[in-house]
Amino acid sequence: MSNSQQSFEIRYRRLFETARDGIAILNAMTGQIDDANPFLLKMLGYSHEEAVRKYFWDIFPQKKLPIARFKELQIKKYIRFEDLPLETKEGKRIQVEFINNVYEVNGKKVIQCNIRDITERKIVEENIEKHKESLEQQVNQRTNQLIGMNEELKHEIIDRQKSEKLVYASNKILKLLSKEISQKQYSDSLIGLLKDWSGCRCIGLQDISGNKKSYDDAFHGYKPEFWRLANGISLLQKEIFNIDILSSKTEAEYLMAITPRGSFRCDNTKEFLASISKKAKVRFLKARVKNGFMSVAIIPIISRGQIIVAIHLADEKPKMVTLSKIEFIEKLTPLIAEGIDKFDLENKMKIAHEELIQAKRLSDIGTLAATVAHELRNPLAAINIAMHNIRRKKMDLPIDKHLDSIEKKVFESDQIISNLLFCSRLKLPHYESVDIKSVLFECIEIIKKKDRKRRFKLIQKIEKMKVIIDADPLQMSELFNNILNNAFDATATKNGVITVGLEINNIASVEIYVNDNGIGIPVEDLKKITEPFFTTKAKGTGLGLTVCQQIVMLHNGEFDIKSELGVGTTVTICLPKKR
Amino acid sequence: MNRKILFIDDDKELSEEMADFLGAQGYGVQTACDGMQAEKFIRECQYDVILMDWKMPKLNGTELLKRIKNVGLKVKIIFISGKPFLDKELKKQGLLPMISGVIAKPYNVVELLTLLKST
Repeated sequence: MSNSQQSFEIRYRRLFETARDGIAILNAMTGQIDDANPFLLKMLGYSHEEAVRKYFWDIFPQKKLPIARFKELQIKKYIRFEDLPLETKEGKRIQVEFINNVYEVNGKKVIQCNIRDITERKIVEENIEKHKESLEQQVNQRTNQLIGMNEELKHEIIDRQKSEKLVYASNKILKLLSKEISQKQYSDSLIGLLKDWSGCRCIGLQDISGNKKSYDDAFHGYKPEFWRLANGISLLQKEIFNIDILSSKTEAEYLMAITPRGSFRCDNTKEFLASISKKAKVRFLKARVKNGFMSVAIIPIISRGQIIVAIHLADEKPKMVTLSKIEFIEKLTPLIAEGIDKFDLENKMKIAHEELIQAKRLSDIGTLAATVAHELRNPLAAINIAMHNIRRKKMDLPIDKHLDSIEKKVFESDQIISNLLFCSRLKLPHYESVDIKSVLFECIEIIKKKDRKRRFKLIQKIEKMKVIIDADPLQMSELFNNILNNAFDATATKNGVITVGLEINNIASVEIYVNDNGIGIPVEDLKKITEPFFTTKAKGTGLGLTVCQQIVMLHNGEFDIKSELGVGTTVTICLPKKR
Repeated sequence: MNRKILFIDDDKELSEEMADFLGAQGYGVQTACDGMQAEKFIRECQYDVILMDWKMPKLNGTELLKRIKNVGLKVKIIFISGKPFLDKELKKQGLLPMISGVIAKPYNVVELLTLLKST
């Protein structure tokens, strides 16, 4: 052996002895361990003697795989593996990495196994693996969560869309309720909305309450003759739902077609028919299928525990009345009911109001008739007695006094009647160019004749010029007669003074006033004197001043009464010259 | 002896005609145009019969009856009325026994004379 060989040997030996990895030298032919370094011996817990008697596979817990690897090594000359742990003398397993080489030493093949303890690396690797798995798990979990949330979100969106649709639909009904519309307009609009919501071709509102026929023609799409037939044979008021369209009795087999809220719903009448009894089939065929309806639904509208109206939906296509559609409409039925109730109430109120007006009118006419009857009796009584007096004295003379009485009483009766007639059908003025002064003079003459015996002073302060105005001459004389009569009556108990005046204040109007120094009108009565039937006179219709005021109003004039109790009264009338 | 009648009505012509008519029948007639005047006459003079309207100025029939009752005058009273509700009102006020007869306007003269004779 050369020096260099020797020094190499020494260096190799030193490395072998001090290496921080295990090194084993095997017989490449037999697999017996020829040598093992101290690190390996310490790792396995064997003494050098114990180790060198063992074969390569003896340091593994089981031999089959190590033998196979040894054979593979013999062929390949190099092999590396780390999937087979070593077994120590105590039976402990150590994870190691094997790097094996075959080489020749002095013509003899040997195997050198470099064995590195990789326990820690394995632990780290395992931890990494575990961590990776947990991460993957977390990722999967999160992904699943997100998928779930997405689903929830989708449902929420659908739910929200549904409730938005419901709110939108409710608003449409509320809008209808807030409008000033008739019952017919309401039912027509409702049918339009139901058509939109259901998509069905035929819609109808059937009145179930029995006593009113307000919704008789509230249908769309149905043939009128069919609607009349269906209208007669559908729901009964007392039961929440009774499919009398199908049979005379509600049978258990129909219950499957009833929604929890009591609507009837059939999405495919052919399928439905196959599932029900023969007897019911006949009815159903008659009522619906003959008309070719595949989808049929009836939704009751309930108010105060009773069905008031039924919504009918029908279409030739199947699947047109899905549960969700029906449930949607069902949710709106309380609002629809409110509308129906509202119109019912309005109708009732309208009728009551008309009755009230009628009653008031009758009562007014009654009061009028009673007043007329009573008041006419007075002059008639006088006429009656005067007649008897004339008859008794017909041979005597003079009878003028009685004739005067008769004449005067006839005039009074006529006055009452004309007041009544005026009040009940006061017409628009029939305008003419009227010499207002001459009308006033005629009326003054009448009042002068009224009582020949009674002395009262009549002062006339009348404009000298001729005054022509646009007015109704008959209404003017009615007006002056009434006012002069009132003045005459007011001054009846003492020597009265009546002043009649006519003045032209400006170019456009003329003012007429009648003043008396009579009893006057109490303040509390002054406001009421132009009301119909108000009177303080023992006899009187209470219509005179009502008529006067109305005539002046009709002529676009002004009517004013000023009075002081015990002093007298002034009535002022201002009339425009031109209409 | 002539029976004395007080005729109360605010209708002047009617009163005059009635006075003429009843005078010719042999009655002594005094007329009054309202309740106040009537009360004055009743206090001053004794009448056999009072013929009175209900609707009168100043003092209506019911009020006048109350005053007559309070004074304690014994007089036959014929009420001129066509109003059935008056019965009820008079009964309520306890005045109904004071009424001897009722006659409505316009008078049926035969009925009026019969009533006056029987009163």
